[in-house]
Amino acid sequence: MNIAQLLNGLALGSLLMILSSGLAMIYGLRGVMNFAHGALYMSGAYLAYTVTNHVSFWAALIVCPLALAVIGAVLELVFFRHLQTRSHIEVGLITFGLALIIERIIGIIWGPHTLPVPAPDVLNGTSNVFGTAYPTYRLFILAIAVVMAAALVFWLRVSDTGLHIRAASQDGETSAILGINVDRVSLTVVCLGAALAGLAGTLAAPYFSVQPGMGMAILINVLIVVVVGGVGSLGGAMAAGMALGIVQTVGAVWLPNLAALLPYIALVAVLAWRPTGFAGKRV
Amino acid sequence: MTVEAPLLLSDDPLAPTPSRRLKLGISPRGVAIGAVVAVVAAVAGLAVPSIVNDLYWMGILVNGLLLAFMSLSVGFMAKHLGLISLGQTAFFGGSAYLVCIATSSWEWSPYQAVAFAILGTTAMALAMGVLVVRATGIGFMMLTLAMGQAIYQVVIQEWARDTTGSFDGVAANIGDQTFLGMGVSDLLDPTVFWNLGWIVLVAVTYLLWVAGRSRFGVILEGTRENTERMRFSGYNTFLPRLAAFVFSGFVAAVGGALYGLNSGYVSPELLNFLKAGDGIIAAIVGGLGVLLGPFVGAFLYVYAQAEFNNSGNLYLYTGIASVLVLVFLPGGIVGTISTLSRRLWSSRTGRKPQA
Amino acid sequence: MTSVLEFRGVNASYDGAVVLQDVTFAIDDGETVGLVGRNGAGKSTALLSVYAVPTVTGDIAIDGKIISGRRYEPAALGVCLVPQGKRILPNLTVTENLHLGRAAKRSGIWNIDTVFDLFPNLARGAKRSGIALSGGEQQMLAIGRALMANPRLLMLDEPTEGLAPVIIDQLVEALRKVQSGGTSLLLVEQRIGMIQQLATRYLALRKGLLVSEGGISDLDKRDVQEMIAL
Repeated sequence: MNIAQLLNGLALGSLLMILSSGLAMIYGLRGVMNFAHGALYMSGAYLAYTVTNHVSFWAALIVCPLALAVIGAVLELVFFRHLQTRSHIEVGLITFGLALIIERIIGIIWGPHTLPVPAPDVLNGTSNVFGTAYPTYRLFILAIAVVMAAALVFWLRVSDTGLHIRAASQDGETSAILGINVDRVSLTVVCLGAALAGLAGTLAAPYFSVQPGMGMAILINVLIVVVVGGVGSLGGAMAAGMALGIVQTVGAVWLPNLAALLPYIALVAVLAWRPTGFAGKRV
Repeated sequence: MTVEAPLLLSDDPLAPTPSRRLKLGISPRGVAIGAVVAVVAAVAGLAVPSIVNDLYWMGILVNGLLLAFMSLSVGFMAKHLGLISLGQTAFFGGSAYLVCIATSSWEWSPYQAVAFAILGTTAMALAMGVLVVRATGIGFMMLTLAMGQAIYQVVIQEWARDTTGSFDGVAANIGDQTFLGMGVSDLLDPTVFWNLGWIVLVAVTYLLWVAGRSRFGVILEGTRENTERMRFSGYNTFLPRLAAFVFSGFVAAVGGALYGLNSGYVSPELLNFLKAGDGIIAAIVGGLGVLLGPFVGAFLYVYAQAEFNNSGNLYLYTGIASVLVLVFLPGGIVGTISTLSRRLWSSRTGRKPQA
Repeated sequence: MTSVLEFRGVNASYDGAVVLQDVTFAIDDGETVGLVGRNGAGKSTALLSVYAVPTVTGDIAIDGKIISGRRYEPAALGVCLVPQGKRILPNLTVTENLHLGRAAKRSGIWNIDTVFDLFPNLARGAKRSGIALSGGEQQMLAIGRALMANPRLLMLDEPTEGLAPVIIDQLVEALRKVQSGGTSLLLVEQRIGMIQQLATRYLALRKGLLVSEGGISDLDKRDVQEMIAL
């Protein structure tokens, strides 16, 4: 294993980390396993394609997460808020249906072909990392992810809203009795989670290129990360995201035939071995 | 400010209550009556090709028939286990792939291919079931989603190209051989194929019905309602659930084998989540709480596909329809009709519908 | 003068099982009322009805204004609950738990410093997480958390449950200080000892019905006790 492979793993891990943070937060607060999270990621990537083409990639980095936040607001206001009394399976199924709808809408608008998204010139070269020349753009992904993770954890620890989010995730009923506007907190979390998915999609676009099916492919990975990391734990999701990224990328080098199957094997292993999920919270 | 009770999967008013049925189990009379109904339906259905004299619409009907296998398999598990499998395409598509691969690469006869496809896929369902069935709820959904995607990934890999054809797919090669008296042109012809497909569909639906109402079905209901209590009562919850999973996989496999024969060609699109979504949407729209729900849903679905295809946005509308149904009509179309008719019955006779 | 909290013909049920029937009462400014009754009489349900935890019909009014049924509204209007079982958030520190009380955004004499003055034990362990506290400390934290919202009415559900007499005395002392600040108290207890020390009036529930109310001295009377089946 050399530096380049490790860094590739970290780049993938960064994207998984950003995605799984959003999914974990939404699950923690609303109890919804958002099967549409991959579709949100995909929307971010496709929007990034269009925005990059018409304006610039830097604009996409700002616009796409914001646009996805709006979609998140729709999800919360139209669906999650009113479906609180439904079983988790039903809501999961609804999010799956929404995923199908979103992915099909994307197919209609952008067509079935793979779309390339060029990284901005300043990030397009290579940098020297421990003696190896490594694509700068992927370092950029890593940097953004680390900054985002640190900012998110810091904000959750320090701010009032962060405190309310943490409280509501642990005990929504008591939090509401104490006066926390759980509806507003949920809206914040879902918008934030969706925005993070959009950010991940935007970052992924120049790296992985934009294609149909990218949503579902990454969804499996993200679900695995959230389950392995502990469904209630944001920090666990972040760590597991990085870990899976490395394992999958490095695994692809050593076991090329199996690499694509590694995430599924991991998910089966975790859920079959511990059907109740990892961090004690029932999946 | 009341709490709306969810009706779809956890508290289904359309399912028979265990306490009442535990004493009944399966009665031979019930089985016989059901068999008569099935035979009548089978024979009646054979008239369809003569009534529908249009090749295009027969094609649509055959599509609906084949989709019904997949949606029935989804519906069976949903109704009796309260679990949604997002990956039944693994078995439907897998079986279709095996038929095509067996007849082309291995040059088997159609009979051997179909038998192998069904048995092999059912065995695969058993293997996967052992791992998957121990999870519940969301975990089960995630695992079956992963399962479906895994099969898809395996098939499209370049190193599997020799067997699965990767993105190019596999064409069946039946040549001059016949399957139950039908040659290649017959199998591809919906007006002829319909007869075989319909009879098998009715037979399979009947089997599902019998299984659902038997002691096995009752145990499954109990497992769905309260797994803990069942376990404490001494019931082994794992084996019945595994059996239900394998049975569902079997149903999907049968449908897939028929698909392989009818279309003569498979491609990875058959295995992806969009196709899985078709089966699920059809089952949901038809109604998951009732056996015939997915059956009706499948035909409605392909009809809608035919209509919407004219505007080019078929998947979009069907997807939207499914979400709308899930949100507003948890019982699906058949379920809603069933509930409405029960309410009408009670208001007319003054009797309360039995809960 | 409108009451702080008023129940008018309130029915409460869980999943169709009726727990409270046609309950009507009022709590006024500055008074302390005890709510007594046996296990299962509906005392906790009465308190939780304010927060729409059971299914509620009838009117509940705070300051004469009927509440909308949104769970987070009463705290902002000044009615705060110290729930049965304390319900401390286990993964938050003492300080963070207290800060939750500020969500109601009300001002008054209670803030983190005055709460720590009231409960010095809490101040010593401010950085400990909720699960690390003893039963008595958790109860103090639950009370302090509710006080942080500067309530006009503080409702306490079985605060002495599982606590040693020495701790109970400390709680009574603390609650007297709360009373002196002008806050009304609605105190739910199975044992009437604490109520007799703090309350001027009592309400009694039996099997979901309000069967008796009166001055606190009436609780000593035999026929009253029999009616409540204490």
